Amino acid sequence: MGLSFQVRNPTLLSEFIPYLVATPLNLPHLNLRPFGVTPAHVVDPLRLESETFLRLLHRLDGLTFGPEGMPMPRWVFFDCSEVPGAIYGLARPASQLWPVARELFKVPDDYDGLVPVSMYVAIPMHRAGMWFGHNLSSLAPVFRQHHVTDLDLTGLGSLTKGLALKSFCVQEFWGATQWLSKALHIHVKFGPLALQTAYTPAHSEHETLTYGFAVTDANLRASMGDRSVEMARPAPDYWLDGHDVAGMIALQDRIEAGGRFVIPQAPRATSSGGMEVPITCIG
Amino acid sequence: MLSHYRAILDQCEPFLIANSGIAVDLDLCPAGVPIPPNNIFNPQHRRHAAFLAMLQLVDQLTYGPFGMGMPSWVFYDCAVMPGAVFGLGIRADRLEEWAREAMRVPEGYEGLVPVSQFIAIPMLAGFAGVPVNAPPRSWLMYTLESLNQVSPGLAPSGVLKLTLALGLRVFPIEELYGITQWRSPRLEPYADLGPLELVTAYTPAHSMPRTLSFRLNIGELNLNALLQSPRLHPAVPPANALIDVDDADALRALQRDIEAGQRVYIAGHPVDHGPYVRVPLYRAPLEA
Repeated sequence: MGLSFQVRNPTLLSEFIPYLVATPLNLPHLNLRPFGVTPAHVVDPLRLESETFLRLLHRLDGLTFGPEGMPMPRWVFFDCSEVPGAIYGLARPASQLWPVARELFKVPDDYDGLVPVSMYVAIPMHRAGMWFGHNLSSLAPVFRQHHVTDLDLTGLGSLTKGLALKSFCVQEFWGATQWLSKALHIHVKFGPLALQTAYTPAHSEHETLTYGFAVTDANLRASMGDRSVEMARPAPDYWLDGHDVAGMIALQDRIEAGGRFVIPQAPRATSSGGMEVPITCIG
Repeated sequence: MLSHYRAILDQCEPFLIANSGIAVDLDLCPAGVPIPPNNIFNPQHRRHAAFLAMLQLVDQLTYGPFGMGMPSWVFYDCAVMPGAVFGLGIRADRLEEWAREAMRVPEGYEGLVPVSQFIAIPMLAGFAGVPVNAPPRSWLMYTLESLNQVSPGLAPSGVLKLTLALGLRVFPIEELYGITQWRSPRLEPYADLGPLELVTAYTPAHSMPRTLSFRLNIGELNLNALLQSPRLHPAVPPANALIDVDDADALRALQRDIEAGQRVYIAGHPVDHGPYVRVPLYRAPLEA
């Protein structure tokens, strides 16, 4: 079943099957039909029979993040995602998978289950409805890299994250990303992003920002491409270059001193091929 | 109860790494041991970078040889944002020169050097029936480690158990989940906590399939029993089975039994017999 509102690429939901990785104890806290889409195929990470699907999920992560040097070890998947939280995504039956994808995933010849093409991983925080986003993987950039044109995967990442947050019943979302990450373009679709850190030595990449937003059906719909949703976005006070470490540290110092800032809208490209991120002081 | 562990606290100080959101849920004086305000670190503040770097080293030294060192981005995303870290540390000037070198203490650094850590994160299922604006009842013990595992003598003996006992009191844990390897030396202190019910016995989803997952209801009795070991916990049922922890086929068979509804508990410490390590189990009678 499709969605009752406009999305960027409606064919994705007819091409793929939603899935949800969750333990039996976590499952009652999750929505199997976010926005009324087809009920998710449930994968129990505690059972032996889930092994191949979970290996393919790990492979998807490797295909997405391996080149950037932040692939997730399998124990992290289990300890940090599958046991305490959940994973939502879209998948395709192995029998309907494109040959190049079958090769990339190294799908076993005798496997006829689902193969994930996207996933969103989040971890519950210390209050009900409060989650930390951990991983968004999509086959879309991999297809572009390999010049696969069998199916237009535009919007797959945004659709997956929007449905996942609805499935996880998220009310308050937090996440971390790098100042130069293209994923910021997806994150700002949810609305202005509150900044909790601008420079983060506790993270492998110090030039990491921690951002958050309140989750509503409206901003989830907007993130998936519903243009009928209008959002108030304050004007930027200035633009921070994604390479400007001194600027990040200065902003971090202002945050630690009590300053409140948001990223109000999408980054913009610089003439040198870099990226600038808008910053607005809100108090 | 802590009396015979007090000597550790003559040398070590407790510390806490908690973001401002979760800090309000935590006990800053576990078992009457206060965490000094100067030893409470916000992982989102720049000034704690040197301490956090040494903590990362503790993890690399202890879990690295298992291929499970925690990258800093995992530490941030999966530990200090959803949960928090409790541990024990020693002032840099109280460490011997070799220990300072081993811990790569920066020149001129006079602060605390971490020697152990306990990390717990919330479990989604733990929010069942919990009032709004209250923390979950169930938590996952995500990491427990001590430098004594790789460098005995760097920290006082007993640091790991004391870190576990105090860490379990810092967090509002009613139901504890844990994940560890069958051959891990940490299985012994975990077994001292009480009857661990196996959630998985063989875990192909994990980097090391010979990994087990367990759950345990935590109560005062369990925490006291940990520090009284090697006396066996009074609630642990007598063992009626043994498992060879290196026998993958046996572990798979046990896992299949659990998936079929068999309830299995760890009922004692691992026992070494030459090349064999066996763990006593209690297989509960099948319910009709």
